[in-house]
Amino acid sequence: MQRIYDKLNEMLENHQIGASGVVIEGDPALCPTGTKFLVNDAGELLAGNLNKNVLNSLQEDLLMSMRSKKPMTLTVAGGLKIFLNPLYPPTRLLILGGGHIALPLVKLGRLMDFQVTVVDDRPSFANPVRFGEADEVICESFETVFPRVCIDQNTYVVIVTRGHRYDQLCVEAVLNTPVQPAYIGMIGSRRKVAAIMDALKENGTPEELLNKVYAPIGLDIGAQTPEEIALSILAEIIMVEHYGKSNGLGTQARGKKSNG
Amino acid sequence: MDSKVLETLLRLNEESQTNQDAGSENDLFNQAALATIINTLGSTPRKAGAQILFFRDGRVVGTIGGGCGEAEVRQHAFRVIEQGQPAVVEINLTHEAAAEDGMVCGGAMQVYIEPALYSPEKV
Repeated sequence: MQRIYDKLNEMLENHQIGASGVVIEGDPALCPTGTKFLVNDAGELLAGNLNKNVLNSLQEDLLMSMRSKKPMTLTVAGGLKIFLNPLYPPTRLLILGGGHIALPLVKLGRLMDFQVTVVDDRPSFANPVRFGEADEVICESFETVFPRVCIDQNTYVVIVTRGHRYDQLCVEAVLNTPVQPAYIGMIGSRRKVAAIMDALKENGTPEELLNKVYAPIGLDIGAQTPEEIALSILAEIIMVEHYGKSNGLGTQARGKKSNG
Repeated sequence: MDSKVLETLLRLNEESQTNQDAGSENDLFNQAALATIINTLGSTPRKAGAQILFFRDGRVVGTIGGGCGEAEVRQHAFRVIEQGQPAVVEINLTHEAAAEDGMVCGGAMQVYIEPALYSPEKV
């Protein structure tokens, strides 16, 4: 029995996607109530005593639940009622640039249970003393750091470097990672954002990719101070997490709903 | 899955493996119940997948929305700890008591409750 939790722990530590299930209305002979199981992202049994036929009949729903990240309750042949819960590695907040906004952003990110990474190329900014609460602080050039930060589909990327040259470099690098993150936001006035987008378009970046970037970043809450801006950014991230898109400043600037 | 609830479950699991009291009255298994929202209808503060751990000593980890809905689940959770058996309960947030307390969510939810780390094979 404990094996299921050991396996679950192992899965989370290795950043694997999967699903857990529990039989909430069982059949004492086939699968008693309370039977638990764990599957990997292909729907294969990792732990638990689930009847093979029952598992097979669940395949489609398991994959759908993992894809949509939504738990579901279903009744399968034999009258068993089963609750499926998709399992994802912890969501990550990747902050590119360790300036004023990064400070409250790290704190808020931790509060919201994100795993927080900060990157800056200046040792006086990228250090664990400045960012005591961050899970990881990387001091490296924005030009070389990207292979190291391992962006995955559960990563939310916030681009707040000290200048538009670095912002542009970061947007380009993030759009070119093998796995696209859940969110890319870039700080800047409408004018700066437009200039960067134009430059990237000229470099041959397709417009549909550029439309994925939330810029200007954040929800419109009239934010002024670094703390308020950090709050507006995180609010937008939560909105994208739950709705798959935001109606923030970037979306408004484009004059149409973005599908993220 | 709620990360704080999961963390606590994993810690309980680890402790249970080194626990001398395993299976006895003092066993941690017998001290807590895990409640999971499995279905909701209409307007409810939390949706399917939200979890909460109730400990017999009163400690709580996580939330399924608070208020009298959660308090009602808590009563059921203590019964589950007593009886050592899982149960599914229906919580209605539309009834008069809830409205009197100013809870106007108006929905209903189905909650699965089991003794923490429950396994049918153990029984």
